[in-house]
Amino acid sequence: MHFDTLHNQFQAGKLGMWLFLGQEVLFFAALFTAYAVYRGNHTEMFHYGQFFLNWQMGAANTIVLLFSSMTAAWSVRCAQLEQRKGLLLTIAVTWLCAATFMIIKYFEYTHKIHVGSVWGASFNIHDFSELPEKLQKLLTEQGITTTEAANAKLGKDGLGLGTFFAVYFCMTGLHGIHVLVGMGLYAWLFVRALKGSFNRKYYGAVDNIALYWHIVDLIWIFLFPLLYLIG
Amino acid sequence: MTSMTGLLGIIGSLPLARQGSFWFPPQASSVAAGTDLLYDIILWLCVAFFVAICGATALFVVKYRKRPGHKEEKTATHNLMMEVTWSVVPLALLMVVFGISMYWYLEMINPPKDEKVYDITVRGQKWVWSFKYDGDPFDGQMVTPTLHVIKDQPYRLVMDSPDVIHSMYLPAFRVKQDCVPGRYNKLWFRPTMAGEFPLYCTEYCGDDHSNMITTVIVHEDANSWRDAIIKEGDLKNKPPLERGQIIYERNCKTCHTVDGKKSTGPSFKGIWGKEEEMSDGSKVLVDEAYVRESLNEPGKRIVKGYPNSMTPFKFQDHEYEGIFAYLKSLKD
Amino acid sequence: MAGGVVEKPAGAYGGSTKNYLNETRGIKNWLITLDHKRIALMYLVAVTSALLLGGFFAIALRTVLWDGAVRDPQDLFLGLRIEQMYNRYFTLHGAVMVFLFIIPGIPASLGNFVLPMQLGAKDLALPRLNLMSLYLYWIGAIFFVGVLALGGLDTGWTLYPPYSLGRDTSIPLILALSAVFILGFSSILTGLNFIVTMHRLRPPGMGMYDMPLFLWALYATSLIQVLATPVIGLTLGLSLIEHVFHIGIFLPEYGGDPVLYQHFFWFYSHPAVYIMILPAMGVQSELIATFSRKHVFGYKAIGWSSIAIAVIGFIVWGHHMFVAGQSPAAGLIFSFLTFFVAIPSAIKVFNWVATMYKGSIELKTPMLYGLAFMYLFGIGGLTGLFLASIANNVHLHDTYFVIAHFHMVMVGSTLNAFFGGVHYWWPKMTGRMYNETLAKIACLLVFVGFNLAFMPQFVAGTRGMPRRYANYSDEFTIFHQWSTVGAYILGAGVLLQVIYLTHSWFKGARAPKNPWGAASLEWQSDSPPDFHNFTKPVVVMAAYDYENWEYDANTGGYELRKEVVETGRSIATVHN
Repeated sequence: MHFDTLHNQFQAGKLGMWLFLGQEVLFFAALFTAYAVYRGNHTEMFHYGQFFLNWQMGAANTIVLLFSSMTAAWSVRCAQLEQRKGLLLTIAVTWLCAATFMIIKYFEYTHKIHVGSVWGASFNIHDFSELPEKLQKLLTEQGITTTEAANAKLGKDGLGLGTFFAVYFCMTGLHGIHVLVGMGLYAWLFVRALKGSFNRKYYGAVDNIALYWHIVDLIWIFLFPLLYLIG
Repeated sequence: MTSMTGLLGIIGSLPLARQGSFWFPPQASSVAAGTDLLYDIILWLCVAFFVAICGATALFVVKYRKRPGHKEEKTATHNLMMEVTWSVVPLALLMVVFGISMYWYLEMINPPKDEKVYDITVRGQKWVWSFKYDGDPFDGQMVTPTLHVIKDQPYRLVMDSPDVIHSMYLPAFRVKQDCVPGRYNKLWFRPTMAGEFPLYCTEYCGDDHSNMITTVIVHEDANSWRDAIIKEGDLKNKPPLERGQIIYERNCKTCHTVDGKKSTGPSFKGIWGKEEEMSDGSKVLVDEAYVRESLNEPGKRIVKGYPNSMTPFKFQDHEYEGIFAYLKSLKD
Repeated sequence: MAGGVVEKPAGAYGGSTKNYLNETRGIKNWLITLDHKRIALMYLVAVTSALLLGGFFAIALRTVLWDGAVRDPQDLFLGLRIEQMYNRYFTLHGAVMVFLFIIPGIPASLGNFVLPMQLGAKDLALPRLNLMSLYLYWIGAIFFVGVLALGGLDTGWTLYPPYSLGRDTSIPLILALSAVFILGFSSILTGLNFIVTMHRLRPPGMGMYDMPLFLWALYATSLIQVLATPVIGLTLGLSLIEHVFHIGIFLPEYGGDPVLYQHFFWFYSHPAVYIMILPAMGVQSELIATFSRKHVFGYKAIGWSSIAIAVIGFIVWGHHMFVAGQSPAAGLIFSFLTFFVAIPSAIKVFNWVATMYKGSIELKTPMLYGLAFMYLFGIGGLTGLFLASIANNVHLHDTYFVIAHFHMVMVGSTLNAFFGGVHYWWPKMTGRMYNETLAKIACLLVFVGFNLAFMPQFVAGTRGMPRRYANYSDEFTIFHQWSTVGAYILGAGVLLQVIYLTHSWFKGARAPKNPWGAASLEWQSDSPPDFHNFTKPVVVMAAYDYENWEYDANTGGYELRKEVVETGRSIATVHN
């Protein structure tokens, strides 16, 4: 032990975590910049891309994550007050929320892959009738009714929706990876909490992981409106 | 050394050094003399500061060197006035430099508004340059591998690339601009000296990056300019075989031999009418259809054993005709 | 020989014969060590190997450039055309030097060793994280070895798409992208660790303004590492996905924007050049002050100018794209901002010169590197002005002028300061002295070779020699041949260093505790230090209080004055 006090060690861990979160923000900032650049240059692409995203699912995920952020904060309080049951419960709920988020994400992803609305070169609508209804209507108004015509309009030589989905999958995918990491961390916390490792003086891990979880939540709060809501 | 070369450098801005100086190639465009002068100004500022810094360092090393009987003295550890001075004075000087630089940069990017500017489309692709003359008299009908311009005329160049990023660099004109696939970059200049000057690619673009060189020829008058472009660019009046050979020499030679030797791409010797195995295992007959396809979309079907690195070409019908004729002539 | 060192058994200078090198034995104990000194030493060996590898490619490419004639396409070397071979040389030279040597170079090796000791601490705040950084570095390095084994890479170290990403799937490219991604995390974690350590482990009585300036420089470096590196991590992550799946972010063929890549790349890689130079400036501050025996002049100005450089460094990246097609307004703004980097750099140089005023200047090897730094950084920094000026930049962009400029800064200054730092802390790290005469000869070779290699390139550049050319026209031959001769001399100097330093490691005279009379806290430990760094309580003092130390002819080094040891307090009267 090379710190003079436990307090100092706790503070060092916390400062380290804040710096790490700083780099996380910069990490995502590059993606948000890419988003802004493509949105600025291809407004129409984003307009059409939005039809493919299901805002109800996005909203459900937002609620799930917000709730988990609350339980994460609660778990820190429980650790400080040495409420063992409360700690275990809040950690478990946080983990379950994260899992729910990933399950909803799974349905979103598989549906997109099924339709063929995926990244870059792979973008290829399989069947016109599988397109979102609103989009079908819009395209029909423009006289586009076949799968080939829809691909010509939306694909590489048209609006280039492949780039929209590249941005979508990269942003939500990277965020998803962070959620998975968070699930791993909460699983580890649960085991340690079961063993009774934490007390009012030693709860740095609970605190730092909660901080991490808040940033994961925060990033989603930005992703949701940018991708799902702004039309 | 720096101050010595600096002495020579100042000559660069004098009219008698228009033909080139210690630092620079000839000043062959309307902005060259100005930017060279800016270079000299910065150079002399640098020389002054450099001599002061190194001079003081050398002086202190000699004067205060460790030796018996010499002891360090305590002096002030900071001096606000001094520190402010040596921050603010260089900053002011730099702002002057920036001002001059901005003036010449604006000259470089804004073509004259009250004059007719001749438009040329530049295409950089692995590893050749082509220049299409869009203005009167050629209206986009002539393409040449060297750039022809007339002295004292303004030119606007629109540049693109079908493969990777290239950059067109004319040292004698002191101008440079990247050819970026997917966008059109613009550049203008006014040549002020007749002659031939090198034109380089300065954005790394692969194997033959350093061979992607051509020439800009500045003509004295419009007639010799027109004749030169017609001589180089008008292939229609030539027999197909000769046409094809010229196109081969200009565009294909870097990667395809005609003597049967393997290079970046397959040799053209005896390739016409041959059945080639593709990278996906299928067999393709080398005929008009395949040659045209691999010119337009080279990545679609690649001959087995070769990398997918060819740049796409778009030609006119009489040019395809020439290419076919030339390839047929290499059959045996 | 440092002040007539007498050969004495180890331990004669500081009690115990146990030190961090022989505390435990066996490879396993080194591989799982949490000791910052051992980790630093392993880094030192690793980055030096990277330097030699990168240097090998430098020599190879300079050899190709001896003659500029256009090669016969049939003229093959190891199955590749000479041009293709050359393209691999300059790519690997750049990539290895930048990612494996210069970026981790000074912070991870010297910084790791010195930082906790300059704070009188036992270790970095997060030792496990430190070991993890080292392992990430090794993984990155192994990936690069993989790139080499699989035939190399010819994309240039900047990996610009579409050239880099738009081709057939290439395993070496995937390895290289992953390697830089992983090395980025190594860098981030090191920076994070340094900042936390400087905040949480300063001893009572040492404020931020009492720290040696080397630590201020490392602090500024760490800020950039933590805040800029994630952007390149993400960029290369995206590039990797783009290369394999063609997602359409950077490749124009699929709707992407290659210039966006350049913006992302330089948003990191421009600050990264300050990751390279700031630690060098920190070393320089220590060398100049110590060997002039003078309190550094303008401490706060030097310290804050490091932070200023770090901050300004984040807003000038666009000057790498003056001719890439960004808007003229953006070009002018970036040109304007770039000039501001010159001011904090100039402030540092003026302060170093002023520090030497009325000092007692001793020309030991580290100081020679310090003086060379003034000269080389002077040229490197000042030539930056030509490039910052946008009207000149259009002509000079991507020519040999740029090559010469950044080598003056990155090699002339950073490598030079790395050598200076290694010679300065070598006695502390290894407990041995090196042969002073050979060291001075090597320093001279490095200096002469360096000037010869890069001064002619400025002129070649202004005359229009483009970079990354395997062939060139005859008018440039003379510049290239001088340059190649210079590179060989520089190489010889580096080899000489490796030889006498290796000899010193095994056979060198025992080093005293404080051979230079330096005042920062690391010199209060034994040479080499104890496993726990300090065996006696550290007397906390400001970094440049040289009068606390006096020369002791018995040990050939400096010892703390008796009254300082007795009272446990600095007797220095000068404060910032």
